[in-house]
Amino acid sequence: MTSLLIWTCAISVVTACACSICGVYLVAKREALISDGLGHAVLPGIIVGFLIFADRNSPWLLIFAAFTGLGMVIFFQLLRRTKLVDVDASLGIVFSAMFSGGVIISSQNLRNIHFHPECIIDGNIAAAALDTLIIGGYDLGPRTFWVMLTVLAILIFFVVLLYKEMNVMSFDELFAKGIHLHPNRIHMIWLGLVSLTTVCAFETAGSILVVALMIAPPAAAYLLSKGMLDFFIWSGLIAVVSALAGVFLGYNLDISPAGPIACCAGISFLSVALFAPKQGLISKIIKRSKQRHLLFKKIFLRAMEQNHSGRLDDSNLLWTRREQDLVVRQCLRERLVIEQNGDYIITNLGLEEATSTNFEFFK
Amino acid sequence: MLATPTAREINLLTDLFEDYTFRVVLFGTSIIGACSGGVGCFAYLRKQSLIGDVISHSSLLGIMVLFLLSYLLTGTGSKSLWILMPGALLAGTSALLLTRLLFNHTKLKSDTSLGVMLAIFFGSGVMLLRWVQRASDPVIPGRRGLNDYLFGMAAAMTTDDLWMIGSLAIAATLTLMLCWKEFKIYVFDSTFTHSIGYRTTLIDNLLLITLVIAIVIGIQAVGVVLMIALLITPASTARQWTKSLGSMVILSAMIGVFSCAVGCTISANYANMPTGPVIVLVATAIFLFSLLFAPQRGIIARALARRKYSLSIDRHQPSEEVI
Amino acid sequence: MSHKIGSEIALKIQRLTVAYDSTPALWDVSLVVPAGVVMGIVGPNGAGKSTLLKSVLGIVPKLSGEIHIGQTSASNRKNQVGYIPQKTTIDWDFPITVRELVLMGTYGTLGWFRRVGKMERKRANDAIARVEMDPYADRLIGELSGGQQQRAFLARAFVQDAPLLLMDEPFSGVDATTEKTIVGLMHQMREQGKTLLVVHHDLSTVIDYFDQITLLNREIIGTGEVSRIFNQSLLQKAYGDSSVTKHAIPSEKLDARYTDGEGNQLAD
Repeated sequence: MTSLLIWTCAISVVTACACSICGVYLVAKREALISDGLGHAVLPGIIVGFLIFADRNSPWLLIFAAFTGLGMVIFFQLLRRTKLVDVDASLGIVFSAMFSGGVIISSQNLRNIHFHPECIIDGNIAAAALDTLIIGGYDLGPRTFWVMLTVLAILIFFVVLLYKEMNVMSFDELFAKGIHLHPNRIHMIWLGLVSLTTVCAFETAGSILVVALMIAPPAAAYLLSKGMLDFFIWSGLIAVVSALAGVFLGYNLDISPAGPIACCAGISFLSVALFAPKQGLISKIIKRSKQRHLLFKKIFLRAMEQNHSGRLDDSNLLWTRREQDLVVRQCLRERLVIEQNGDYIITNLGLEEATSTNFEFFK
Repeated sequence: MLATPTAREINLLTDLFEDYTFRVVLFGTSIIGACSGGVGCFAYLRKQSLIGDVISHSSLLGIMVLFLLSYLLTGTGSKSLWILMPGALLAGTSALLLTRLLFNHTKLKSDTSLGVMLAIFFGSGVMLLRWVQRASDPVIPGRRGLNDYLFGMAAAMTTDDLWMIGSLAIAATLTLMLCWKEFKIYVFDSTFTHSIGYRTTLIDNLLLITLVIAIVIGIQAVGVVLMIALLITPASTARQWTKSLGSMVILSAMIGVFSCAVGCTISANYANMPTGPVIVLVATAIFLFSLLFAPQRGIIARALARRKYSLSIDRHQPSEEVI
Repeated sequence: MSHKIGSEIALKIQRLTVAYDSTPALWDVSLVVPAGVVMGIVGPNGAGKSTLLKSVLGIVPKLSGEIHIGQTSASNRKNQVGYIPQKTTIDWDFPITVRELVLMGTYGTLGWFRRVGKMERKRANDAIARVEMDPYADRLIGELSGGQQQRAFLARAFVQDAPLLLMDEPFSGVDATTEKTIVGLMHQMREQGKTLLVVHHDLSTVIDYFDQITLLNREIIGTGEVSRIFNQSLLQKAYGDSSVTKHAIPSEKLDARYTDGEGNQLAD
């Protein structure tokens, strides 16, 4: 393994962690698509910043571009507040317009420099890994790695600082307002950080990877976790695994790792969505069919109880023969009904079961 | 660089209109603008604007898969829309259906389900695109120009493509006209629609297919990244001026045509001008103008009305917003 | 005034069970609504009130049971049931005028692909006139006041000419004046022989608004005349919490109105 590959892995892992931390809060707040908007909207900031500062390593450029992202959020909220345009539409209009501006400026002025329009989509980790930071004669590795590490540190600092507030806000905004938490202020601070992360990750990851890493790992984590802490840990874990898998996939296919990382993040999400122990699709379907069965049993017993003829009057039961047979067989097995001369007779046990309607039982 | 057109440039413009290729492109983008503008109104009114973003991004995967399939079968990757378009339609529809599956059967909210599907489909699409374009073997013939699906390259449109775009657009328009009443009532009040005996799932699916068609026909000219704007910006603009669904759809389609025609002309005239972004900026400019100056709803009109009102009753208007 | 209650049945639900996913939203519900009454459906949040309306409309699949509307089975419900949705579920920014909204009431008889004709327009205009909305017929629905909005939707129900009208929380999010207007319109509909089934939230107004009520909490807790059903013990059974219901019943009001006890009609 070459040192270049190791550094590519390191950059991807740090970027993935930073993005997934940002995403946790967005997913919890039901604003996941803001990251999509930011992923597009920081582009003009980066391009114009580059034209102003003429140095893409300048921290001013990063801050300038981060404020452009925040500007998108403010525009979007202003537009939303006029109530002239639907919420989703206003987000789409604002970010696509800003992105278009960025693409046009970059293809006019910067075509041959660093910002090739294609890099907007999936960045250029390979180039970033070559751009090393040399301080006092020591080669410290790629500059981007240190930038992303700093961003990650800032994010973790804010998460620790605002953990309690964010925990409350993500689940109950009104309550947060009630106890004077200034949800709007914290929200804006957080969106500013998300914007900064997007800007810093942009050159390595491009807009697609930023969006994928901000949504897919937290979305998977959301299905696995019970509390906010779980949420962060799972999200980070899934992001790291996807980043590593993506880098190796990209290495083997001989392409830029951004697409493969996004793909791996997607695959890990899909596997969680399918197989998660409680919230996964498969376990939900199994649980659902079990409960439906219970429900049928109860409906059947109710019908038997009210129907003294002992015959099953199936005109009122709107399910298939198979479902009915299953239910009848189970009731026979549990001795809730007994069979006599081809008729079913409900037992005392069955009567008890029929008259108790404990809905908690179904949950 | 953008500048006021000089005499030479105007000459160039008239030359352009006589140019057959340019006429094809202009006609094609206008069809796209009309179709997405009209259908976009329904997406907008259903409050599903961002679904368009997911459909358009996802279609890249379908295009790449069919491109590779055509390479495997014939030895040359085909870029004919007749081959790529079905892939885009399929990918867009399946992304949408998977989003629904996630939304209906897990505890994920709609925004997260949409975002995740966008990431998966677009991420895989970009991955395949990069693989096709990589320097090492196999070099796939016909791979040049695939990049243009990202930001759109209207100039790449051929007469053959125009026929494909045209026939899909006609199909979408016909569906819209035939089911006008049904779409309208369903988008407005789906419960009521069901209660008076319509099959709402059928209407929903028809609307969905129309939406996917309107989106995928535009990705060649506008690009998958920005197609969303062509869908919702004209619709949002038209909403500011109109009082009925019919006029909204017609105006929106007209704005779509105008933006596309202007954008396409600018893009053809200047070097290094991707068509999609230019079209989007034209549409956004019209949108901003309408937001400010539309009668009654416009920001200026409302401010004037408020001022008049507060002067007439000589006290502050009670605050409207309750959050 | 008194109504001929019991002579005709507007809606009959037998042993209805409905489940979303697997948790029952309605459990073994049987209910009879006589023609010409205003019946309120009252219960805590998540009690299945809206689900009950939706199953009458045929929107949610039922697991067991039958629904009869008037003389017909619910499968033929095309113009048997009018529906006035909850205010919050309507997009008031939708570009549609009162006239077009009312015309939607005719779509049920039109069916697929057929366009609105002269006949339909005339019916719509008549309905608009009946709720006295002529001056506002070409206004956008978003430009109307709360009372006018409800009247527009009532006109749509008039066009359908459905004998049974379902209203989902018509009073949520409206001011007191509008609420009065709506109650007036509801009672006006009843005078014209319609039956109204109204999902209702506010316990304190039940006595004034309804002839009959149904207390629902997934199962039927009680159904019938307000005087018979609207008492502390049944309410507590429905809500499971005495603090909610303690102040709901102004007892002196009940006593004053129903001195005869059970079976009495609600006086207007």
